[in-house]
Amino acid sequence: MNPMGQALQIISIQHELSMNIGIGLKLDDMLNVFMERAQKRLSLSAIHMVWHINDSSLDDYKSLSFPKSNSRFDTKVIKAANALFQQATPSQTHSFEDDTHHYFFFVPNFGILICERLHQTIEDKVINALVSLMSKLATSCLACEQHQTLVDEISARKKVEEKLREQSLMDSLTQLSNRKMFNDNLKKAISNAIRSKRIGAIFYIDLDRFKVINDSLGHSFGDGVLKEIAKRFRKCTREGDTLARIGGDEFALLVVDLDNDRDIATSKAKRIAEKLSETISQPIHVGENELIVTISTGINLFPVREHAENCVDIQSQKLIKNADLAMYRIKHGNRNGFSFFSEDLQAFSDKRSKIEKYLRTAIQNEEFEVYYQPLVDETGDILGAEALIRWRSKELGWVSPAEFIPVAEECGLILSIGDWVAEEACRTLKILEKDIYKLTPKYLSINISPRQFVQPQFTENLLTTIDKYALDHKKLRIEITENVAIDNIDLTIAKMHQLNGEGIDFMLDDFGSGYSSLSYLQKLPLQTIKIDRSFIANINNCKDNQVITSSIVGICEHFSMECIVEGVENDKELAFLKEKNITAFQGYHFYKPMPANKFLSLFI
Amino acid sequence: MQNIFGVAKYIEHVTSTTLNDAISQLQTTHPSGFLILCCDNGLDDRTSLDQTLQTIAQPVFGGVFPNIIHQDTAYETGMLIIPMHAQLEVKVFEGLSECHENKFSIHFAMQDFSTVLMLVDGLARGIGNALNQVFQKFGQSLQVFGGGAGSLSFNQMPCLFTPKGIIKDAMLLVAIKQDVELAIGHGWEVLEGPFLANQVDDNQILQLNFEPAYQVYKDVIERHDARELDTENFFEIASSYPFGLERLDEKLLVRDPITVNDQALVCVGRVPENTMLYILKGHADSLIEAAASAIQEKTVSKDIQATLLFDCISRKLFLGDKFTQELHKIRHTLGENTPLFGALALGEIASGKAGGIDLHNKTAVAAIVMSSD
Repeated sequence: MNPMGQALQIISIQHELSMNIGIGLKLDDMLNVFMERAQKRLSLSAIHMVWHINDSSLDDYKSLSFPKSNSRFDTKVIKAANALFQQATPSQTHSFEDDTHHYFFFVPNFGILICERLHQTIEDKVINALVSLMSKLATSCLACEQHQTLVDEISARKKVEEKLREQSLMDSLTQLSNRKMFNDNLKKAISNAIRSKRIGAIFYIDLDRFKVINDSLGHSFGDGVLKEIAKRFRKCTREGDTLARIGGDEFALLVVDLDNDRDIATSKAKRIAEKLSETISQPIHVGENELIVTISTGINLFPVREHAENCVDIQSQKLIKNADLAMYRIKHGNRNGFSFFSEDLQAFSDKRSKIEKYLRTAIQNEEFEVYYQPLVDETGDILGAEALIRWRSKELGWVSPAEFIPVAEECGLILSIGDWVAEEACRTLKILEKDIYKLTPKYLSINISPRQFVQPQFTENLLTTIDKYALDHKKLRIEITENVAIDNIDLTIAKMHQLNGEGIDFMLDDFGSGYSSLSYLQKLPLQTIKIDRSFIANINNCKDNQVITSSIVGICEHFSMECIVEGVENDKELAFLKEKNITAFQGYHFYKPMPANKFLSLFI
Repeated sequence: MQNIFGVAKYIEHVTSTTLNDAISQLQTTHPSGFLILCCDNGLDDRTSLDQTLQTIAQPVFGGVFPNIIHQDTAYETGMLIIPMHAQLEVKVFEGLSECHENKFSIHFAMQDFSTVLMLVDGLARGIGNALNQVFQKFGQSLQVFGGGAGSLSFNQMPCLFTPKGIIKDAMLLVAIKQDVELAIGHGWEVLEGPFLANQVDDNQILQLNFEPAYQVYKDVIERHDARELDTENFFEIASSYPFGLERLDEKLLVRDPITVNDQALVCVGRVPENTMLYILKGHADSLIEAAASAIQEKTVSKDIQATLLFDCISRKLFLGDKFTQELHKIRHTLGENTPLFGALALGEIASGKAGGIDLHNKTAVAAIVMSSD
């Protein structure tokens, strides 16, 4: 080839390789393009880029080769690359061994480019043309690295954000979805179900008496139980289902795509509910402890035709509310079971809504009235009386306390209702101080709900009310149930001691119907226990009730507490009970609850 | 030591029956596989051979070429079946035209092999990318040689013999235990140049020296040839004036311009952008001499076991009747008793001396198996 042709050839190689530098922002891709072109144009057997060279360790470097199969380096090659890199001046070196030429080019501030050729040397003028490309190659490599650093930082940040987002949708204890994610997925599932006409279901699951586990065995044990239950529930789910922990001991399962047919979907949902119950029926072991947990489950199928006109948001709220209602039906029954939301529950729900609506105006409309049911001693003399609220709604007529008290508890109206009852009882006690009343009762008792009791101002408000009527504090007693203690036993005990100190006595109502935890009896500063009416009915014929009642009476004797029985309805029951050490009797056999004026007339 | 190629069997009329019979006869030699070289001419019903190919117990590989070579004869019809007696592994890669980086997952137990026979559908696009992938995989550790199968009609048809039948648009890699010496020669000489291929698109040269490529080429050819070049006679005249890609190892890589697309020259094989191109001329004597002397260079004082030759069909078209002399000379160089098989291909493949794997045009590539004794 003539000199001009050769010069042109070198220029064309230099030009082409230069044009192939900096194509792309990913270092490997950019170098691959360049090295592939260089391998071909320079007739190389291989070409390598070595960077992040560490002076102190010959094994510590990064490299890229074309072809990839030639990526292994002889130590001598790395040593030579290292030596050139440490010189840090624009230069190149050459070595020849085993019929292979190695040409090392310094890539400023980055690394060393190694061109490998079998048998034949590369002419010096070509080498010189390549040296002048190295600055441009270095600039591109460094730009790619900086770009990669930026990309890595962004992707790391995105990862963290994604993790945070996931965490915001996860329950940290069980690693299940949380309520927010459950709600999001439910909305999507409703939309899909409407479109596909495939029926799905939500299962609202509440652990029965979980508070007792937490209180008696501690919260860390309770957490262990929740984790184990989550693990077992997870085994009952399919891909696409959402299992969530949506409250302390509340779980929810969203199952999609059950069937097109409502009956088949119902039967499938039933099987799932049975499976959920079965899966936790086996004893749970946490540490050295073993226990058996049961669940109450409310089920609601979707989409609901009646809600078709509603937006997905409203539908999802209704679905959850209705599943919750179905769960409460089980909860208020025998627990440990499941129930589908149904029309009658809807009617029940509607009634609750109405009750809530009219309760809000009941006090100002003077629709409440306090009735009193006397408690008598074994001779029939009145010892005291229990104040019982009655509601005659202008719209709904007489509404049973069993119906409106839970609603009032739920919506918070129990606070104002409770205050009103306390005030009325105090007013009645004040009236009884008048001279015309003889043989007045020792006390009136009022029922205090857990929600009332935990109010920070409860003690102060009650004492203010009693003092407003200048009453002896002993005249008003407080009836509480075990539920008051369950929420926070320490706070309960402290408040009770405070009120005891003010002369106010406590009666534990409905004993035997709830948890009947003997540890509560020991811890709570109680003066009286009222045995639940369920043990009194037909006690003369029922051995079991006799044993239970006798035992409770024995416990009261042991703790020096008064024992009261409620629900005494006939002579035979009374005859049996009279033989026990019982302080007072309450029931229709003696007196039914009566309006204040009638009650007052008993003492004239 | 046993020869890696057994005694070849030539079938003049190729049918499933004659193929079947030939294979049955060759089975008595207990081969490890069969290399099948077949002429395009007369192979009308290719699919009828599929069933026979699928029933052969040993790996089968080969291709359909414009001509096949046996000893010093180039056959225009018929089939050559060569039983193999070497450790080998056959892999088929389909969808060659869509070949992009990392398309094929190429895995061989490389420590067991020294050589790879590479056969491609010579009319498929993507051969350059496939060569790149093979080079990426093997580097310099394995010698690669082979050629492009296909028809001179330039209609893409099933042209590769594989264990699953005759297929098109594919690549066959056959790893062989034995070493080979590769001899590459073409004998083309510089007519004019260099020209800078400043604008190209894969196998199309759009501009030479910043002018429309066809016009530059036409001007040069018409200065040296009495005939006037036009699109009608382009293939006929251009077959005598290929391009040579200037490379640093000083061997010109030949590129065959076969047609004109608007002002672009369409070549067999990729032409890299910004390369220096020469327009070449050929003389029958220098072409014939080049192939033989390339072989001579590799075989001085060595005993040859056999040779597999991939010669370009366009050399035969250029040399015409003199092509027989090329084969005679090659055979004479190798030794009259040395088995010689091969094909006249659409593009020849060979590992370069200094590195890389090249697709050649108008070149003879001989893979020479030496006796190890």
